[in-house]
Amino acid sequence: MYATASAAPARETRAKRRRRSQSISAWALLVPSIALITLMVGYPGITMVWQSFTDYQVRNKIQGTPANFVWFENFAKILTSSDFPAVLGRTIGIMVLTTTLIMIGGVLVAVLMTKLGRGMRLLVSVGLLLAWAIPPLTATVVWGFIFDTEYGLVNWALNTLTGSNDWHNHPWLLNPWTFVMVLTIIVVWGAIPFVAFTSYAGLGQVPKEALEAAEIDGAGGWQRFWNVTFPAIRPVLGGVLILQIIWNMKLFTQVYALQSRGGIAADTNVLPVYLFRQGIGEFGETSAIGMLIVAIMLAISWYNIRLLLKEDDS
Amino acid sequence: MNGKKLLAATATIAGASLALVGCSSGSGGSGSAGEPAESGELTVWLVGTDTPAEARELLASTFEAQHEGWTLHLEEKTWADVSESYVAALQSNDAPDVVEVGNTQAIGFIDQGLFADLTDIRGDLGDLNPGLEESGTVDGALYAAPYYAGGRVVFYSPDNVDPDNLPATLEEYVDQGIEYRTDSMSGIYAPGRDWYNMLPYIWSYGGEIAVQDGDTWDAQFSSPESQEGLKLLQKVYQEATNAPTDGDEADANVPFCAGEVAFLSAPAWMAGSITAPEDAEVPGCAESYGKDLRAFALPSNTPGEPAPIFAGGSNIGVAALSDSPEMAKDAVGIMLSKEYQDVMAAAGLTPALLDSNEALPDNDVAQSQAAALAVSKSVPTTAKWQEVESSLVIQDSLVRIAQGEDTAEVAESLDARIEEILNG
Repeated sequence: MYATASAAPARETRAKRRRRSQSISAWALLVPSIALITLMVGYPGITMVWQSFTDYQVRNKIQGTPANFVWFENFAKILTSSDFPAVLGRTIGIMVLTTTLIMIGGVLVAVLMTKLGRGMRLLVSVGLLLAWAIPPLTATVVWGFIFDTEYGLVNWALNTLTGSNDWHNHPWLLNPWTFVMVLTIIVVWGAIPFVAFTSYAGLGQVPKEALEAAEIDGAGGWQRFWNVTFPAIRPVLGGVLILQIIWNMKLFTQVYALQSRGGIAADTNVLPVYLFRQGIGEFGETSAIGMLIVAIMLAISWYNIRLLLKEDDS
Repeated sequence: MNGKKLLAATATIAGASLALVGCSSGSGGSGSAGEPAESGELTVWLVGTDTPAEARELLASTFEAQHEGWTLHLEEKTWADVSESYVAALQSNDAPDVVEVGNTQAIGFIDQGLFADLTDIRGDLGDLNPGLEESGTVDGALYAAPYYAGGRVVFYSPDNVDPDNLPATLEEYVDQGIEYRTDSMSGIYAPGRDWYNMLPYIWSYGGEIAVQDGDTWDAQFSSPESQEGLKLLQKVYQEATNAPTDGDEADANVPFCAGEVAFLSAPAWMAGSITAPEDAEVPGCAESYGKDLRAFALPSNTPGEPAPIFAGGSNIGVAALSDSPEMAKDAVGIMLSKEYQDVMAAAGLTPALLDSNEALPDNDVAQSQAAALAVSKSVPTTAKWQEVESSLVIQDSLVRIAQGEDTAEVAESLDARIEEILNG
């Protein structure tokens, strides 16, 4: 007892010293990435926050004149504008729809890949990779042509299949609901490969012994997936889910390109496109919309972030 | 919050912001502003394929001959670029030097201070198209020089339309369009988003887009005159056309060349696309429906008089942040020279330089375009107009009318939106 009491302070200082030298080297290693993040994200981020409270325009930049500080005028203008609630609701709705389909579809493809033989798995991987490699704009142009009103493949196929002329000049993008359907197909099609590959990598980490043990205990396929596989890949899926929420909240390319092919823009705008359509050089108002998007995204993903952090701690 | 948590949270927020904050392209500017350098490169942006290849070569060779050591680099942009992408480029330190913009868009760019004052070279430029000059002039100073004008004419092929029985009034035109229409043929090709072609309908009845009353704008789509025009247009959408309700006019040459269109109201330069050979990179139909392509000016309600059409056209500006504004102004001078404008006129574009009018080809496309442009009108002259265009409110409303919604209701909400933007 005496011995421990006298030895304790010495051990403590040694441990403290080690901890300090460790933390110095840790910070040294972190400096480059922190500097890079500050430069690439911090500066534009802070600029955006500042601009959202001003009436900054291109004019100010070109002529070197300062912008006026307008407090919450930009936010008030956006939040009270007649079309904002609809745009917000549509954005969140499309995000939930696409994210759900992408997550389910991606995990299903990943599970499928674990069951396939080597040759088929290679084929599926190459197919997924090709879909993932196609830029969103290209994909939208191709899909847009497939659903084209006058010369589209879908209308032709439906006419041929039904042996009628009912689908002649059927405008898929005109009705906001079928617009969202086409949009969902494009987005989900393009995003499934990422989820599938990531989940497939996660599935490789599931302990085989646990699965075998569960099988011996008489667990069925679904029970094994839900009680053994799923908890093991949950951290991976949690991370992917946050990314998908962010990506699907900021859909721009696909929506904008589809709108230029058809449909009614006012009925199909999502927040990022709405931001873009505010007119040229309105930095103040558009920054305010950007701030709102960040706030909404953080609110939505906060639960997931906390969950992830909790899992990290345990 | 411990360090790890903080880091993870920071990374997530950072990721979220990264997702939102667009990266501005950096650097690349060469040479110092002011003093013309010994050598350098001048960048000129042209929009679309309207400017003929011959004119492009003439511009580059003349400029390079006048300024030894300099090269002129031409880039072709699309009309979709002439808004946000243009603004992004023109405010950067890698701005292009000379840019072509639509005449209705010029005032927006000038208002944001993106164009340099060209008043000092105005004296060297000769007599220019007055309407286009007005589009590029603010407070008596010229910022965007006229480039060329373009009007819409009605194309037809004698294979599908009886040339001896052309309509004399707008209503007759619509009636004939309805007669020519079959399941596989549009009497009048009228996609719902083609708003430039909507304007003659409201103007023919005396309607307007918006009128200025003191400091405020009063949108006019719900006026009785405009309503008459919109009702006639709705008849076109519902009875005379097979064009997509939510389509636009961009590739109207495709259905025309497929023989699916009787009357095609389109910009006069569309003649070039239609009469292009079948095996061209952008195929036309020189051998079939484009073989004997004819055109007339859209008639108004008074027999024998053309309807007021939208005065289309382009202006050219010098970027306020150009590295070499003097060189850029020289390039503008070449583009407005008699030789260059003659080439433009020969290609069927109405030249900005009035002296070049005589170089216009003697065919009915060019002649009916000239007749139509003589009574042309434009959109409200306010810097905010561009916001109306980029919000697509007019196109959206026309699509609703094409779908059969009540013209009065649609016009009322359209007027409200336009007033909200113009007076906001």
